[in-house]
Amino acid sequence: MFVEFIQLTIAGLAVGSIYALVALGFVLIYTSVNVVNFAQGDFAMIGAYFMVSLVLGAHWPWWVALPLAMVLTGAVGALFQLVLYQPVRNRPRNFLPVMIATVGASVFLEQVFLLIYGPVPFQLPGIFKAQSVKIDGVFVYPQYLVIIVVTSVMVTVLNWFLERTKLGKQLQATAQDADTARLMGIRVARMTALIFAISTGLGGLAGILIAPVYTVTAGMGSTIALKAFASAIVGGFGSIKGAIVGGLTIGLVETYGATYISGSYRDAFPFIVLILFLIFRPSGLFGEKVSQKV
Amino acid sequence: MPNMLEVRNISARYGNVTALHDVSLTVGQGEIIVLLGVNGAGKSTTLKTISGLLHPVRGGITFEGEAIDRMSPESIVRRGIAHVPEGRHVFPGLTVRENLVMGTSNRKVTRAETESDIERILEIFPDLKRLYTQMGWSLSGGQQQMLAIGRGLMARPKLLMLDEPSLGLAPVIIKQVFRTIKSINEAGMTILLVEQNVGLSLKIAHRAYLLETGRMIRTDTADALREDDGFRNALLGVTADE
Repeated sequence: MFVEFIQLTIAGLAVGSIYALVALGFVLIYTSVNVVNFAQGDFAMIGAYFMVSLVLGAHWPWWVALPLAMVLTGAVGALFQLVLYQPVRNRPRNFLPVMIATVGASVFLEQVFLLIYGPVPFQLPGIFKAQSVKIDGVFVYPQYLVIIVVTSVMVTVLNWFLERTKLGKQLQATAQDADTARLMGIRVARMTALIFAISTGLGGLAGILIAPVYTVTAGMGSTIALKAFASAIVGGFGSIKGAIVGGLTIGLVETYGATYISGSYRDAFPFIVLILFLIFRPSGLFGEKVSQKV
Repeated sequence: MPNMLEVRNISARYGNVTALHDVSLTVGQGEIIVLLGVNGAGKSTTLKTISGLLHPVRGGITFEGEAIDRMSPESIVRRGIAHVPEGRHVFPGLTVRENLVMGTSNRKVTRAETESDIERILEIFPDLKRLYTQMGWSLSGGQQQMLAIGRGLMARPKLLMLDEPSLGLAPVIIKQVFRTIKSINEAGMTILLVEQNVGLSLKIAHRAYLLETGRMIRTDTADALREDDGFRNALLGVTADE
């Protein structure tokens, strides 16, 4: 019983890490340019397909392919904002048009990758060959551990970057007051490109890490995106800490619910939590204080 | 002496509303120039047009002989014009130190340069020292104004533009701000000041311009305008607190 609980917790944290990575992308873009990027999940799919090409196609070792696939995904993200966001950057009330454009882009990206890679799902091998390892009597799928460790490292690096480097502070300054940032000489268009690259790169990493657990298909991003979106809301949309805690919460709820309550309602549990939050605590776990927004 | 900044016959508009008609002004090296006028006269618009947040629809602006009226704010601040906006616009979620560091974004700096520049700013605004690690939003209006001016100076500008630094501050703090502006100027900084406090502005400025509904209606030396009771009374009687 206890052993099962530990196994579920590890699985839940791993799935939750994936949601957290994608949710981080939602939050970073939202706080920077006030736009919700509904194509965020598709970058997980793009990252996974890049990994398919690099590992299954070019037979590169995973430790070269993983960072490269992530960077390539980020580059696609930078291009994405150049086409979708930059043209209307200085237009007032651009929130809705950009958001609707991201919905369209989501469909477009899925169709393009379906066209390139075909409808047959790809199966990526795990980073470790073993199907399971035994630690202290608990059987663990090693890819889950990879997911948890890589996500922790990335979140630490991101936090260091945003809080300890001048560039990170310039990104924050741009998010807080773009016009004043320009008066300081901060190149706002570059900052926006960078934020999109980071956000979509993190999304790509999520897809890369989860690919060995699921299969790689053109539609794989949409389910992840939906739950990551729920994670961001549960965490308090706009909070980085919230995105991480929200993601892990949704991951755990989903995994525990599927095992202890009902497997067939696996996908329903995250949304039950989401609805409860929307009713009783719409600002989420770490909803920002008004004083910090002003 | 050639003028550092020359604004020639500019017009500017927000959407369909013309905010500036045919406005001209010059700023010479080492001067404090004050731009006076009531709310909505176009003072802030003039500064925004100079710093590149707005582009003039007619006329031209040159800085040290170079046309800057089509440039972005990012490029203009790199050429040496720092604009401290109305309402201070301190970054709320950054600390005092981080706000100051953001001021160096207009150039490549080494860590040592940044540190010595911060030292210099803290000498001008000693109050900021004990607030060093506090968030921008937690500062009082006067403290935010000091920080905003300090952040502007971190750009090492040749021309510092201040938009209503006295806005919303207590009289005693206002006097302190004006004293600081004067001393920054005496240390060699050229300043273009936008103000509604006519009395104090004319005391520290060399020359003044008066804007009314987007047109420049008068310019003279500060001394001459100070002696002109008609001018002072016409302009609001804002000087009651003098």
